[in-house]
Amino acid sequence: MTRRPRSLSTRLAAAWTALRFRLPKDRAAALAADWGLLILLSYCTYYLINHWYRALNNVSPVYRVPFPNYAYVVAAAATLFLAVFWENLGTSIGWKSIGLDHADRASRPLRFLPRAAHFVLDLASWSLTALGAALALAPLAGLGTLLYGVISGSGLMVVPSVMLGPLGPWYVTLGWTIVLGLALVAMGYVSWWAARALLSWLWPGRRGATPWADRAVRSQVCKAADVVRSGPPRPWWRTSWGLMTLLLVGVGVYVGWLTAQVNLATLIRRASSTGDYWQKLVTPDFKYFLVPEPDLHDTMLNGIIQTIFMALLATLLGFVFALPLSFLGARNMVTKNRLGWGVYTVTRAFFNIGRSIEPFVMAVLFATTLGYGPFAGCLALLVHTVAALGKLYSEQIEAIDPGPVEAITACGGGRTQILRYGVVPQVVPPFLAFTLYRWDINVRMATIIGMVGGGGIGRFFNYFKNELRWHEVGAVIVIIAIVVWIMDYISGRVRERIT
Amino acid sequence: MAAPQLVIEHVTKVYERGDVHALRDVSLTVNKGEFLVLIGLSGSGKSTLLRCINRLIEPTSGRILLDGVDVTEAKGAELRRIRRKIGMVFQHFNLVKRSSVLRNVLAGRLGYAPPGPTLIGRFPREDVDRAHRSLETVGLSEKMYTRADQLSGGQQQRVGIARALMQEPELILADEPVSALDPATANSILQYLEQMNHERGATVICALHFLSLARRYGTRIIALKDGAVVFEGLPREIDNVRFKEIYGEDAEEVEVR
Repeated sequence: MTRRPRSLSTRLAAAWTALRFRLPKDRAAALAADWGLLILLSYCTYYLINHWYRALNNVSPVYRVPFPNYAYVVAAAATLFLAVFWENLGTSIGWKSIGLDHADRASRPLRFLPRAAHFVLDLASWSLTALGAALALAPLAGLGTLLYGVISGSGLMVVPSVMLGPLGPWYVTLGWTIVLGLALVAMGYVSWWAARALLSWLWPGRRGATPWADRAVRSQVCKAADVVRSGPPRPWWRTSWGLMTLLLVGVGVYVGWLTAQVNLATLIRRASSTGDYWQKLVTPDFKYFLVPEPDLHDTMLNGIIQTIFMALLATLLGFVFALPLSFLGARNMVTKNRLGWGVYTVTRAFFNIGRSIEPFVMAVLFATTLGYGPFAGCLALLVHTVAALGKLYSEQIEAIDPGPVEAITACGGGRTQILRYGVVPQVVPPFLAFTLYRWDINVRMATIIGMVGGGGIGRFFNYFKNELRWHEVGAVIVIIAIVVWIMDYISGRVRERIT
Repeated sequence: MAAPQLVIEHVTKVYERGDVHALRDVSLTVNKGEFLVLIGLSGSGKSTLLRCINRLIEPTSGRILLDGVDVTEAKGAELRRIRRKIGMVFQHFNLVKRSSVLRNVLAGRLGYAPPGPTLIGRFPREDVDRAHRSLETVGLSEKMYTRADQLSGGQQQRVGIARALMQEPELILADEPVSALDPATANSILQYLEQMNHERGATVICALHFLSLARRYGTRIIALKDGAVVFEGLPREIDNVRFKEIYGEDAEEVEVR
């Protein structure tokens, strides 16, 4: 049998794959979810202890029960312990939602003793993993602190000076900083690698095979649907995940109620004394819809048109920028090699970060640099639109039917031709639908952005509100509501037509 | 005797994920003008073998020669030149559902047409004429401007065949072209393939599920089981014993006419 020679890069990639921790992704995700939920629960407990302590002892609302610092570490470890316990001896929320279950080699439910043994081994495995990850990431955090020091111009020399005392001129200190930083990173990776080596020495097996805890007790983790059960399943309220969900929802609502400082008494008491204000709001005054407002030198009609055009411009430019980016952020387009993965990761990171910063916040930041006005608002909308559309587009590209791509490849089409004839025709209609939908969202956002100096109708709202002219505020609210409703209706109808 | 058109030498394919051996040391030769039928259970490696021939799937090891040229070593433009001589017909048609029939058929010409103009959707005049003729051959001239997803399964597969015709193929790979169709339509589709085989002299390698269809259209049959060749011979040589070898002890032959 002839074997084609493998290039150096393929061999390096294979070596790297062999070296990497082969964590089953589903189980890691399930554990992360369970751990996270338990951490949330422990935070709620902490909050309630404080709340009840203050209520019982009648002390000031800023009083905090003095927990020692190591309590956080203990809480993190204890919640990990509980999460692993929960996953092994019951069906946790994470496992239930991903659809995993323990079973023996014959796919029957696991008995108690193997389950208990598996719990101990799993706990050891996840603890080592968490410890290894912490050891590997801590030096990075250290480096980050150093970099922060460099950027902010404050703390660069702090770390080595505190550790070693004054070291002489600045460049000596800088040198030590770099050496120490690199040493920290090396230490972290060595310890992580050592933990892995220890595990694979204790339980050797083929790479990619079942995790060692499963091998040790001759069990397997399989899809919950594949487990052969005798008898009907338990009703959800008698399962651990069902009860835990009830507990989480209950505690969540209670703590949420406390943190939001819900006070129904105030709502009722204040309502009667603000009757005048409500009465003005519901009798809107549209005088300045067509007549320029003397202080703002503009009509509300112009304001709303400006808002709509701001939204339109942000949407169109957003489309132009998001279109090429979305191909870089689609897994099936770029991840053929390592460089592709890098591009994919960076693009996706931009999409996710850009989407998670509200345009309202960005508008405030841009307005400080660019001055208050529609330009800052538009720019803020644009950044958010590019990120949001890019993400939607690239998910659409990932969901295409691979058949036509295969067909064009088989016809001898080049890369651009595959894009043009295999991918683009499939994604254009959904892209148009998303873009319209985005315009609709942008109109809504543009009204809000106007309130922080982004221009448009929001400027009127802000101004009238500060002047306590509630009739006009009422008018602005009505105009916004009508425009948003119309946009929503139109974009909804058009989306129905083209998808 | 002339040199065989296609030579497959010791081709093996291992899917890294799951450690699956899709093809185990497959060797065979195909002569010009043959209608070779591949049979075997689902997962026996038929699709993988077909896709290795035009490198939609990279074989792990082994060599494939088409007209004496090593397909497995070809790169870039050379690979595309090889691919455009090989027409392919798919089980699920692989048409762009939202595009018109004409556009789908023209896409078959992408290996020949100048790349620049095709990017803005322009094809040379003769290619458009050729597309009209191809559609006429499969009897779909009236449906030229219909969206592909408006057609029935059999019509869509005919569009797939018209697309393959555009390549003026010397070799046609058909990956279970009739599995998604009803028996009557299946016969008409295979007749189109037979017509291309007879009239244009294109070699056809066709994966099929039904033995009766294989017997009727194939000039030679190759059976795969677990990625290895378990039978090679003429259609009439498959008797009940051979059949059970290929499909397993419990299998019963189903007739399709």
